[in-house]
Amino acid sequence: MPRTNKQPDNDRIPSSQVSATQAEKAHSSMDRGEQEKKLHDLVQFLLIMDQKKLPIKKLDINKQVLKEHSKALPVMMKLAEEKLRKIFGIELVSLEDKQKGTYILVNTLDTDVDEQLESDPNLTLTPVDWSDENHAKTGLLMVVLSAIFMNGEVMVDSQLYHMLRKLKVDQDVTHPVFGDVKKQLTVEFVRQGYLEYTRQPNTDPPVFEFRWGFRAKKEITKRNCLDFVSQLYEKNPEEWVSQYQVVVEEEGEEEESSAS
Amino acid sequence: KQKHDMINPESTSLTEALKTANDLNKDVKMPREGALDSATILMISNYGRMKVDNLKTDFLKFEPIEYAEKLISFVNQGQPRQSQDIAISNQGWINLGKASQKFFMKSPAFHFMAGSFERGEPVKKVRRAPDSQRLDKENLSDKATVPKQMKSFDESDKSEATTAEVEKLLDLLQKLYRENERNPICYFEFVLHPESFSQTVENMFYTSFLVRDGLANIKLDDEKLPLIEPIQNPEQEKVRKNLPHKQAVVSLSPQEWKELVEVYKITDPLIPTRVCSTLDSSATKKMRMK
Repeated sequence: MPRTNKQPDNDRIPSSQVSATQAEKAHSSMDRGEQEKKLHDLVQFLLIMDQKKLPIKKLDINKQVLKEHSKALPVMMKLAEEKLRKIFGIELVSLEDKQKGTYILVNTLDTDVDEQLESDPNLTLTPVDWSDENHAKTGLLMVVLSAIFMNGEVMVDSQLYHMLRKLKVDQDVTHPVFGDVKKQLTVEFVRQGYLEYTRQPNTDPPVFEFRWGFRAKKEITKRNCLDFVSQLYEKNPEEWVSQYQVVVEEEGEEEESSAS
Repeated sequence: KQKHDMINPESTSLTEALKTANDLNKDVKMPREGALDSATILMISNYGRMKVDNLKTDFLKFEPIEYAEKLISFVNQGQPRQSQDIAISNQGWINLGKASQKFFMKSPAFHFMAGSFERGEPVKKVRRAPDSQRLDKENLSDKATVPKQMKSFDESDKSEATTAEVEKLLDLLQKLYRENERNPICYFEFVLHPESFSQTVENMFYTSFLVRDGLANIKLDDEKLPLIEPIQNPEQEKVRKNLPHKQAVVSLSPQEWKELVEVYKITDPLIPTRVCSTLDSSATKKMRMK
């Protein structure tokens, strides 16, 4: 069952280059009409750039939207964040560490149409429409993320490829649906933030490991994956002792942050 | 493979290896052997660590292969049995994805209903390259008909340097033609430069202009080798023959160029070497060094 996201805290967006007061000055130097226009441009920009699910860079935001008003970025991003949340139900997430200075968009609303229809069959709903290509990739992603989680949150590349080969998804063969499978996993999913692909130190020939990426951690819960796998095996989630423990911890964290 | 065996918690081969290394250590006399010994111990301890990681105390252990098998039967429920090569059909992946979408809190991709804004007019390139002008070396033997003159394009976009070169080339071609007793000249002998691949390519390029403008004609001889000849009265020819225009593509790799130079035993280029820019001469040097 999909969860509702925890409340984003307001200090999320770092203003590393520009101080808060500088930003506010820059923002108020624009006249009202311009402020509105820039804000609308910014929101649209973020939504459109999100199409491919690649992280959005501050640099691009400044270059394409704010231009001469780039100093006002921190203020504008806060306003944009609010608009996105209130109007679209979308959360703006600022990325840290290696991806510092970029953003991704995450949904906050329940998209489980079936569940809602079950409770009230008379609802007229317009579910989000994804392409077939997107569906297939999501299927692959689900399989891979669940496998990684069940395997202890990390999986060596040879292990993953071995498993996928059983599904007739082979990295050496152009797959009819996914094409270059290795590229899909190590490039596209990594760029989008669904997977993390790191090299094991001191290995020759090089060995790589797959983990959940930052986007996966935001978009999907470990509980969902455990439930999915448990259903597959016709077992109870609790029977997977260590994995279940991770899930409980995850939910404990969630409760903590929504309580604060 | 040995590594995998050693890491397997079930096996004792790691302990055995440790024992062997320990015994050998007694014989160590030289520092080099000592270094080897410590490297071995290091590796064994790494493996030991990996072995511990692999040791799972769960009653129910996750096996990726088993997972894959269960997936296959799950996705294929109610569908006719898939062949061994397919496992999960295209539609199977799509269905699996559809069922999984609800687990992902993805923000919907935003598309304008009426489409995005239009691109502006593409900025016209100052120099329009005539890219339809090349003969296909490979396909020449397959073609039933011979490539003829090209439709002429708007000439105003040519740069002056090219025009000058092309005119020079035309003069040269006509001179050679006369010297050859008004017989067509072998195309390869005409364009190939024995020393420089880049000069050869340029020659082919300028030649294609001649053909394009209806000033030269390329045809195949009895052995399907290309010949080139200048057209005597271009305007009259066009009107009289009114032939359909054909296009072809020529490709030439440095390897092929070398082979051709050997086959045709070309020692001196028919088309004189043009004064090179520094870029060209360094490229030429590179070619020679290869």
